[in-house]
Amino acid sequence: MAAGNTYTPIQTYTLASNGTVTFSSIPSTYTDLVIIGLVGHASTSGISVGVQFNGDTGTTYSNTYMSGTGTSKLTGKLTGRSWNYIGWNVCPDITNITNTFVFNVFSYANTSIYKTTLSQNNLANGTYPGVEELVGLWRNTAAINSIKVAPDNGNFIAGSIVTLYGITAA
Amino acid sequence: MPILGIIASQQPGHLASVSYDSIATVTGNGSATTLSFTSIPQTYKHLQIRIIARSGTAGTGSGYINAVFNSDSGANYSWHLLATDGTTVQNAYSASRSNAIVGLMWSSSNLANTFSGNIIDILDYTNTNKYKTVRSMEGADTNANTYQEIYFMSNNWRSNNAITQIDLSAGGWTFATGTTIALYGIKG
Repeated sequence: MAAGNTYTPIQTYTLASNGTVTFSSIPSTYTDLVIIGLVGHASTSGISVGVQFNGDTGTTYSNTYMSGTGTSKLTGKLTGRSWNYIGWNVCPDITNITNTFVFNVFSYANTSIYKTTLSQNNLANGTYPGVEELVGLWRNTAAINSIKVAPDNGNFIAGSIVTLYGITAA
Repeated sequence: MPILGIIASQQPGHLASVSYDSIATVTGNGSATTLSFTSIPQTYKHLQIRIIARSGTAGTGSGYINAVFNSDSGANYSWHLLATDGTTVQNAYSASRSNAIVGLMWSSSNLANTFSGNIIDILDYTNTNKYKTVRSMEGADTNANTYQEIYFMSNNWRSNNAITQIDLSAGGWTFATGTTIALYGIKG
């Protein structure tokens, strides 16, 4: 039987000043989470964008990525990291140039499995342009109740928007 | 992913009117080799299937999740894929196949507690004037313990029939307990 209307917006942050985003007290009542972002960074060198779950800053994250920059195709493995990356090679590096991403967290409240994530990351200008997909793994069976979204160095610029959605399966 | 036109809210839990409905969920039990959605409502514009999957069958790496629409196992499917194992990017295609490949799932031999994640979009599934297009992405990672992968796939089902049934299987591999396949409808 259909459970009905879902894809519920839980919280949106529009940064009024440079900073990072943390979604906290995430309800455990959904099946999957989706984070959609439009973010910029003030650095003139590329930075990567990632998440940390439940305040875990240990090296419990890993990713595999595939990127196309318009001149190169890139792939690689990121193991034993302190961030689960949304964007690795394709990242904002010029003020007012933003990248967009869609970040999926599957079965985030399931306490029997490690958490698998999928992200698509896109940037159309700057030194680090391109399209990118990453799969991630958080080697922890705990239900996710908070998510920090941030550059791995510094802050997002004011005007960056990050929204958390919950999807409930029937 | 189809453009949903989702309205974000600054208020926690505040539900704006959205066009994305959950329809049904099927789950693995460790022995089933086919999981199906039947009598799919014809009232949506597109379908999305979201899967976390692991097999109860031992093997190397992962196996394709295949889809058959409306029990059509004729040579009416074709697909393209772009993929990586973290070392090499590959691409492939196949024509005149007897099923679509829409995702992948880990064998039971991979790192414990890890499942593949899959998102499958079936566009304009009720339209009786066009062939059906399916796009999907899949990923699984193990911190380089065993295998890792990312797949982009596109499929074409050469039939004008509206899709009323979807059968998902993986070449005889079982769907392990914990495998969850959820069907959603997107209004348009």
